[in-house]
Amino acid sequence: MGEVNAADLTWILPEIIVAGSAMLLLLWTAILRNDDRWWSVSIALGANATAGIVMALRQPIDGGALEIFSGQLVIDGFSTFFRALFLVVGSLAVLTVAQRFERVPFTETAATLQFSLSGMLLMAGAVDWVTAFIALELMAVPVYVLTAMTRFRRDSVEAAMKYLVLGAFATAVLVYGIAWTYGLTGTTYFPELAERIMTVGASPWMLFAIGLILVGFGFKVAAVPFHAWTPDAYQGAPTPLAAFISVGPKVAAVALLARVVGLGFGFQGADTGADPAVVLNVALAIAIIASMTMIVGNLVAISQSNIKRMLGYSSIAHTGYMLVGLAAVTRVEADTGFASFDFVGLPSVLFYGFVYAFMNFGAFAVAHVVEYQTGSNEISAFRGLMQRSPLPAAAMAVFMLGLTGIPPLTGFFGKLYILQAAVESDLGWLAIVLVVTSVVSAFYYLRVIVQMFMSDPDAEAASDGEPSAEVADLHTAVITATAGATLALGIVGGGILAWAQSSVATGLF
Amino acid sequence: MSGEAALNLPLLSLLLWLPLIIGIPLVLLARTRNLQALSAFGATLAQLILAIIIVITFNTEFDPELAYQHGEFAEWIPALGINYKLGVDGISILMVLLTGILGPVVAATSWLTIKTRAREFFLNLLLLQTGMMGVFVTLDFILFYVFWEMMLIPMYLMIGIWGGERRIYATIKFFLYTFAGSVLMLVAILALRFNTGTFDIEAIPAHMQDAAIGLQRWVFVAFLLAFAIKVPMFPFHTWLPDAHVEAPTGGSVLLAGVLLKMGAYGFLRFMLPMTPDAVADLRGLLIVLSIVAIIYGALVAMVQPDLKKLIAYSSVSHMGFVTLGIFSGSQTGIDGAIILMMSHGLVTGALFLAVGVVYDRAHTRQIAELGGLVTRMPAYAVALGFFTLASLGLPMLSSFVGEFLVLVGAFDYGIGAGVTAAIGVVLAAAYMLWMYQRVVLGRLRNDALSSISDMNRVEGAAFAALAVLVLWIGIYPATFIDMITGATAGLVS
Repeated sequence: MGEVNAADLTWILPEIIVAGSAMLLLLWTAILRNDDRWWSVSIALGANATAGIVMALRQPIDGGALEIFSGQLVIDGFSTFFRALFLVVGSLAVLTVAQRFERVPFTETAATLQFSLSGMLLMAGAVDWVTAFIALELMAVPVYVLTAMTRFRRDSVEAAMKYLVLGAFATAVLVYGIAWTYGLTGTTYFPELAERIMTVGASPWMLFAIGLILVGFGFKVAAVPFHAWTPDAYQGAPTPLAAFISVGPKVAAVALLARVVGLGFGFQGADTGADPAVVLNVALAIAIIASMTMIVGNLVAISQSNIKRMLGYSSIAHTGYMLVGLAAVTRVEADTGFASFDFVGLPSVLFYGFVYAFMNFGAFAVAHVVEYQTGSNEISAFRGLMQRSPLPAAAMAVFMLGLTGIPPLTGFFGKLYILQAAVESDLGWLAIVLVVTSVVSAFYYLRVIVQMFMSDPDAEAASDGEPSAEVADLHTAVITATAGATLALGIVGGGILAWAQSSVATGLF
Repeated sequence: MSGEAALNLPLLSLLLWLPLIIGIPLVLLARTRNLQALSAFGATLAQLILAIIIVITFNTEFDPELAYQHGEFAEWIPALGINYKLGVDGISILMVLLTGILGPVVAATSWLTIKTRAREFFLNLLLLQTGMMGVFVTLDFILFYVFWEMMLIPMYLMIGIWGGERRIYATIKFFLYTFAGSVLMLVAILALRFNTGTFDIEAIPAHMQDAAIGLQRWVFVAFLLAFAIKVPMFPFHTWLPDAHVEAPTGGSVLLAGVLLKMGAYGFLRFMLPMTPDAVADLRGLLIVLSIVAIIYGALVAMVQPDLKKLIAYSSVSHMGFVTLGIFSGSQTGIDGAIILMMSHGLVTGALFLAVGVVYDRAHTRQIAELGGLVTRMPAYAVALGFFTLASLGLPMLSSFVGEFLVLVGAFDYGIGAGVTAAIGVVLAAAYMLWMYQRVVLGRLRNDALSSISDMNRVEGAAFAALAVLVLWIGIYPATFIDMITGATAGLVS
């Protein structure tokens, strides 16, 4: 393989800037012993903004895909789409922890967030198992730390332990699968992988290896039956960090999975360079996992009384929705019934990941506000929120309805796009599972609205002290921004959709 | 050309967005409850005026080229092939008028009754007006679906916040029922798009002419579920009494007046033109379900001790007439169904207002606790009497026209269908007159009612506004039938 040249480094300046800011923040605490939040926020946000600007300016001239570091990473529309999203999500996370997050060393939290963010940025561009794995771990390990950030709380440490052990287990399974794949095909480079799989054929060993990889990713994206860690981790993690964990790492893992199946297993362009049997088998496996994930996630969410657990199960269900898009690998002609390979679901996954990030982040941010006001994470703590603090309540209604998929909110268009891909791909049964489980989800999302809008602040709770109505300025900003995105991207969301489509079209697949 | 060429204004867009762009800022800025109500009333009144202008400029000369009038078109989400396409035809024009007239009526009467969280109430009302209007004027399937679902939210909040004791149960039931029906329709819409390549409501029927019967059947089932729940058709009606009883008066008026019509509108706009063969195959079942709804609704209404529940079940019965007319397969029946939709919206809306008038004063809706109201509320007795007679189908009033045409259509379909449905008319006379006798006539039995006041001017004006149209349709229905026949002829050909 060729040597690293300096020009390649300029392409990963965004990652370098973000990782650099993380190290700067660590040095900051070590040398200056200063936990001044405003400096730390400025460093982190400044780095993210600079990274975003650099990324926007440094694009391949022809708008196509540019492979760097001898094919370890690619700079293309797909990676740009997700890197932009991750920079926004990371910045929202820094803003959310900057206020009302007491007894926690803030600068270290921000540094850990930045480390995780740099891993996510790399994941978006990884097209080789080596880089993909390192990026995945660079993202994941800081997240375990973040879960334990409130280490004076027992459940926080316990959740981090569970998350770490299961995450490590998943990583081991994934690496085992990667090793098998390498043994069978002799390559770790995704574009070659698809071709080599074709020569190997859909042998039992090949499917076994791919199965291991799917299991590993199943843990990372929290798909049923590998989801058990999710509610515990979200519940135990400090709420503002749970917001990040439920969005960033999940969407990053979905993005990497999309690249793995799209490029490595040849879902995209499967008519030319991939083994149809492998594609169909893997797509079927994803479809089955998707249906189980939607059903279990939504059904179990109903019985939750803790908002963070409920959002945990709901985020599992949303993984299921995204997997539906990944399972849509054929395009069926309506009049002839003739099917050809075409990864029609991929743009819908990008779009859903984008809109889900804002809705879910916002929902956790409101949960954090309510937790601060009442000291409780129970759904009943939302009681009378509309009268107490109208802005978070109205925003939470937007998030809940958006997650349900009610138009004109952006969640609806996300689901619509995925459903359309499923129908085009002759996955009508999966589309029906999706819509029926969406109705189930309406039940638990509406319960939050009932508490906020339709129940008056009850006398019993008032007797042990009126809950504070205070909302920190930064939380107001974060909630307004995410709610605004949830509303506006639905009504004028055609641009994001077109962006997702062109990202796939100009991506390396 | 029709009148819109001369006016050259995007009338439908104005009609649709007026409550939002004018009403919502005003309601948000208004400090006092009175000002908030006034803002909402003004915005809905402006919407009504626009609706009237659209009705007046509507070209009644049937010409297939002009099937949709006041058309507007813009690309919305080109990546998905979704457009902003509006237009009205004979099927929707009366629904636009109905929605328009109920808006200010509800705003005005809610000014009297909604004392808590008034700002939120009027915001909800304005959102609801836009959502309901949107359902009737959109010609893009996804845009239609957006409005169809969007208006669930304000109604959900309206029942849930300002409703009665079991409001939360009722509102969640309402939401889940309608949402469950709608999502399958969404899959059907996507299946249609997959097979026809378009979301354009105007273009799909032509594509469906030679579509496989299997596709038609699947789409039919999904549409039937969505619209039958909304109408509601027997046996999908169980959400309706709960929602009506718990909803605040304004919510009930819009629920009965407009929301139920959306299901029937869906049958007319989508099911008949897009799945004609499947409808023809299952016509018998649909007719039987309609007749069951007529008789069952009437019988259950007869034994209700609660005034609001009685009227809710009478709605089930009347909407049975509507679906009977729609599926009778004759143009007369469909004309009757549309007139009856309009009439039911006006009459039942007025009846729910009337229940609200009593409930606000007596704080009870139990028929047994009322009685002899005529001695204290003479004007109210006249108003309730008028709409009671309208509801049971007295000639010269609106429902008679609709029911008569529907029955003609039913007899066209079969003698048995006509005869059984006619029994429903007799039953309606029985339960409505008996209700009127127990509530209004006789002497005052309940001492608590001795100081009850008659209805005030606002309520009187609301009743009068609705009564004008009820009389107009009853005495000279040709005005309205002329508007719709062009479109209904297209449905049966």
